[in-house]
Amino acid sequence: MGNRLTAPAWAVREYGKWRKRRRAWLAAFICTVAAVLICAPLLMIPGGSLMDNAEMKRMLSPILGEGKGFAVWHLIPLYPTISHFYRLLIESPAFYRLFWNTVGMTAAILLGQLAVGLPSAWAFAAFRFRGRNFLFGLYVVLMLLPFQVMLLPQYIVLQKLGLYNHPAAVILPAVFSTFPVFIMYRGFTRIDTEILEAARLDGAGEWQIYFYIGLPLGKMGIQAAMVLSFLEYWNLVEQPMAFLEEQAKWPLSLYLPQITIGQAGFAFAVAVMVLIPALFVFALGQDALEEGIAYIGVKT
Amino acid sequence: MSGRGRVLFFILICVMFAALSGCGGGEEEIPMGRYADREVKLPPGVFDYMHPCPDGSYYLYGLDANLTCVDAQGEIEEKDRSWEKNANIRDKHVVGVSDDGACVFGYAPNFWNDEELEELWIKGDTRYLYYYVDAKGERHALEPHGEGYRKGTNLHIFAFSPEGGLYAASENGMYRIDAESGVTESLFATSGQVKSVVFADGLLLAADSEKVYFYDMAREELLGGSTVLDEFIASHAAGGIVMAVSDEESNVKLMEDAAESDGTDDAKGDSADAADEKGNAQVLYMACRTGLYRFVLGGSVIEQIADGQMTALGDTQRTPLALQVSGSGEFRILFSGNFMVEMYYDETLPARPSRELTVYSLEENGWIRYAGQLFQKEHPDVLVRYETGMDGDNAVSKEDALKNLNTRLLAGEAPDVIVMDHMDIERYAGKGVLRELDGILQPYLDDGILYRNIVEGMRMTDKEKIYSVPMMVYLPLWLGEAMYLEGEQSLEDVVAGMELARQKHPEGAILYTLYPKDILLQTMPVCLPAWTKENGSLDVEKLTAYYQAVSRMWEIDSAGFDAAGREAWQKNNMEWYAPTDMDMADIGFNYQYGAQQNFGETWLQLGFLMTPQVGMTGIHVSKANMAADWQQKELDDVVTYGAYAGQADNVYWARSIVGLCEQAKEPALAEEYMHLLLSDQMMRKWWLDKPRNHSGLTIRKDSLGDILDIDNIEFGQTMGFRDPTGVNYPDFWPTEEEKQWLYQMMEDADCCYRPGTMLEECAMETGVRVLEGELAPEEGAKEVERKMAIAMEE
Amino acid sequence: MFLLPGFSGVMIFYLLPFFEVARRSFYQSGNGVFTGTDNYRAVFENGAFLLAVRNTLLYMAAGVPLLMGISLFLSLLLRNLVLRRKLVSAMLLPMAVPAAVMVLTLQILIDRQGVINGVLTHVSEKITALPDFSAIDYLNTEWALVVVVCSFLWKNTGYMVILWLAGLAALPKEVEEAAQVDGANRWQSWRYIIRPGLSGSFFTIGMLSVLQIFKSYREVWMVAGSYPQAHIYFLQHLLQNWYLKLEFDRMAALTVILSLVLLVVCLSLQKRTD
Repeated sequence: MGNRLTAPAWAVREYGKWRKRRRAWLAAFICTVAAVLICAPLLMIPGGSLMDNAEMKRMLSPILGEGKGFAVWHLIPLYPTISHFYRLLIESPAFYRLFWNTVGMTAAILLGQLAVGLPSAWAFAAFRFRGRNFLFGLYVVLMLLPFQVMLLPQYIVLQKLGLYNHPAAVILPAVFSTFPVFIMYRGFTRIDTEILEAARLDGAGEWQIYFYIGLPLGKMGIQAAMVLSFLEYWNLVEQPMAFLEEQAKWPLSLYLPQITIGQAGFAFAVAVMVLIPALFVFALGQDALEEGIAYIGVKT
Repeated sequence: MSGRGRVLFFILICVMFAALSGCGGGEEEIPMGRYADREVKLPPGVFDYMHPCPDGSYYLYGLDANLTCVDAQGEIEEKDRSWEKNANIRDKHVVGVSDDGACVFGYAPNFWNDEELEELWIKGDTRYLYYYVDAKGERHALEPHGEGYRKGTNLHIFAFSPEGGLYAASENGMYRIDAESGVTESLFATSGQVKSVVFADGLLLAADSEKVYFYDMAREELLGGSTVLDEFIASHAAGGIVMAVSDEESNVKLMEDAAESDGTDDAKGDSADAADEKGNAQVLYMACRTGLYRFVLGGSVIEQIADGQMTALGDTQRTPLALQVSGSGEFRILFSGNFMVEMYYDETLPARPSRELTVYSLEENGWIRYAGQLFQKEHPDVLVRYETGMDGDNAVSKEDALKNLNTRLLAGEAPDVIVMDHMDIERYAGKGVLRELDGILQPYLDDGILYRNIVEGMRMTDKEKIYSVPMMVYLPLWLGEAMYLEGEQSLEDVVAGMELARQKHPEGAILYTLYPKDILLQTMPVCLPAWTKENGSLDVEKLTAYYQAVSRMWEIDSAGFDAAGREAWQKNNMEWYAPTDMDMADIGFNYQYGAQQNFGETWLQLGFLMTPQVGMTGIHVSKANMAADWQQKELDDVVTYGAYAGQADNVYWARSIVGLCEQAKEPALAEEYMHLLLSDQMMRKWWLDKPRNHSGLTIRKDSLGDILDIDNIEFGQTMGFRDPTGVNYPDFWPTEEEKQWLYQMMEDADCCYRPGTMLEECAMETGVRVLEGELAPEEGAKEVERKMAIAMEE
Repeated sequence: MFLLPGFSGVMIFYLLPFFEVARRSFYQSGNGVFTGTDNYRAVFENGAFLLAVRNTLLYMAAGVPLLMGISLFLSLLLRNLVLRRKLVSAMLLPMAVPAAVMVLTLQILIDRQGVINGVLTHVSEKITALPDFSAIDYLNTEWALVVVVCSFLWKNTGYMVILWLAGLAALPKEVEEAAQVDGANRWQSWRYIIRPGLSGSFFTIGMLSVLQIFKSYREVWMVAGSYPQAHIYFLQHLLQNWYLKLEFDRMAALTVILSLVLLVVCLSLQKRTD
């Protein structure tokens, strides 16, 4: 067949490049469409946060069972108002306290998970000890158990430890959550046990191996675990509700009023204020994490 | 893992169990002495302003009262303000008094005969009128004007400095006013509404809900504030905060561990240091819901003097309005609701209570909270901890709150008393959470003190015992022209009445119902109890019949409008009624209220009688109102009222249902608390203090009789009814006949309706869909049945 | 040694509580009478339990493969893109929205008189060729499960993409490039290189999808309440309702059953991936 191909070599090369590029463009297109689709419903939030209650009520009255026809939604409010933000940011000083509660709580949890979960994940990946599979299975099951069933016994434990109504009541169980272990473990599994053996033979201590071989290899796993944990704990609802009695200690996620359409504008405003810092922290944190991991990698 | 690992593991487990085995603690000796309060009898009138003078006397003023001076010996002198009667004023607004008796008055002008003012009023821009009266009694109008003062800015606080300068606060700033000329200059802006203004050492201190502003009056500049103070204000000012300054403080006793935790740890001796440095530093006292506090100006620590939970300060129904410090280390606090207390140091009381009684309720219940305060007063060694599962604007739903309660119950940390409103009493009783009350209630029933039928209505079907008792009830009532509903016996009769009304009045609404949900809210309480069969299952036929009836009612009601008309009408009435924020329990009041506002269109009312006083007068007020609306008609004879029955007869709506916990830590105290709740004192007290609170009709016969008694001067004082537009209605008193009718209705009521059951929620949700025409009545009933089946299976 | 600190915490905050649950599953809640296996029997004889199990399995059967498929497809496309980070962050956005607001948004969209039905009706009115569209009451008909699955996909796609990307990044690039040089087409490189390389990730992500299914409960509950349409009555509804009814004993028994099943499934899957 080859002899029938008369196109010059450069043309073949260009064609190949073009095909690759076309493929890349197509992939980018599909992904962008998917991302836009996923974000589309969220476009309601900024508009909603600037909408006054009367407009909201008028638009949504069919949902409230107060009218015929269908609800509509103006992506851009007809009569924008910043009253919700005013109420949130100026009139309720509690907002700031709750915000910092959230930040503190999330930061403590993430750091704790790194400190505790990472070695555990490494242990599962790097050592073959008896009962490892069973223990790991247990970790997975504990991860899957719904919070509702753990609520009561955890409450008893926290009471006994004297931690009830203390931020630690939320932080500690989260730190020891088996979820990040599970995710980070995956990152470590690619490690070649032979390399480890070789390192041990060379006289490297276990901690050295962990720091110089383990961490660089597990970086994607760590990153994924941190990102997902962040998302999870930033909007934590049930644990603080159950274990923190005092509202002053609550995170921002509990500040959202009950879902009544009358409060919708305010709820959207809170959502904006929850989202913006989340995005910010998210972007910053991701960079920092990547750099930090890269740094560890360089040191090897 | 190696052998070493196993050993480590073992040690770890040991440590863990040691940690979990809990921490014991020796008994502690509780020191004696703390602040207590006693109520001060106020002169006749309703007061909402107090000016404390340094010599211990004080001035009082209020909407319905003259300016009154009470001197240190308690002598009362009423200042003459007869000229107010002649001035063109509609409402008293504010006042500021100086130590020597000069004062400033602010009035809302009477706009009834002034179109310009009326227009401003409608726009929400009322120009208040101010008068200045000097110490000698010379009076002249005060017209604030000048640089920095926008004309029309309303001033809501006036305060005279010790030097006699006049200061005033608006929504967002402080001003100084020349009392003679009215020249006003703006001093500084505040971020929120100023709540309290005091003077100290040439400084003006103004607190809004976020911080305290320090203004140097001589140098005319705003000084830097105090971070400690600002943090304190931001976290404590929610229920109102008042301040006072004094330099005599030798007699004030501090609480143990009184330093606020936000202050630094080593700040203990700090206040004393600050006092030494400045020679005689002045002390700022602050009273708010959490307690009474002191702060040495220039210091950095806030110390607690009295705990709000153990004094009247903790009352969430009241806001502190003014604070006075006396030389002998006592405090005088005026609260909203015409209530004043003196706080004094009592050495015979233990510094903190040694026992605790925990009272839980799902939602705030003022009456229960009040009982806790009363109980505490009678038992100084007991702290009543009143906990609510859902409060404020947050994400905690009823289910979440119940989950938390159940966690506590299952963990063995039950509260002592539970208010069972909106909770599944049968379930909790069946699970052994609640203690049976037959023994406690028997004497009350034997002596005929309580309405036996109402108490018996709470008897649980399966265990034959009573586990909870409602303290108050609502009774179902219709109101309207006699021809439509007189002799009404069932829901069908209501439908027939409505049809008749529709024939006579082809246009407009008949019931005051804006949306489908409203009809359900008005009818479900008197029908719901009939839907459960003997064996506990759902009576689908009854439910179907109910849905058919309400669908018909909605149809009839809607026939008076075209679509646009209804929409317009709904819009007009929206302000009175916010369906999304509506609590089931408030519904009756809203309807009654709505009736007054809209009687012109409304021919029938279905609602609930909630208070004997305002309720009974309310009926008459409605009559009066109608008569005013249709002046030519003699409605007094036409409009009447009667008990209303739905599918169930003799229904009562149970409120403030109280149960005691089987696992209570203080069962004896809990029992005593129950006796207090059932006492005549408690049931009547509520009316005395909070005449406008629609908590229900008492289940104690003598209390109910007393409240209705016209000759009872005690109650007579609070009978006035005043609506927000400021027009005073004449008081209407129930006739003997009406009273007997009410007693009879109470005697007959034996069918208990408790809101918040799962069946109700389910029927409500489906009912809306039925009325909107999405489902046929039969389908709706089937759907409810399906959902209930799942619930029963669980 | 590495495991110890983590394990001690797990012991205190998870295992001990779990043992407590297991213990309570043999006693009657409230009075603490030992009842043996009565609670287990009560669970299995419970009609609501069977309904809940069926629905939960159905939800998983629809949700997990769809989620894994979609997110894997997207991450395969995404992995070499320049815009990767931004797009992934955008896809994660729904995760960061507080549940309450999510629910509010959903309600506005999918109510019978909501925005989606409004748009559909409008469209069908404009284009006469289409059959008449009558508003669907999504939450009160069989559509409810579809809605739940869709919102589950919507919320969790970004989450899983992150995990797939982590898995893909760990694949040695050289092998794939070498294969491409050798003329392997996309299907082949997927079949022989990527898929075997991701086998561990399949397990992880599968498990996490199940986790997310369990976690999506609060939103379902907020939209549809404690007793929703019969198709979206899940195990978690049952658990929650039992908790509200103080039936902790049954709940404990159900938990023990659930964890045993999960453990068996998990161990067998793990064996296969290893």
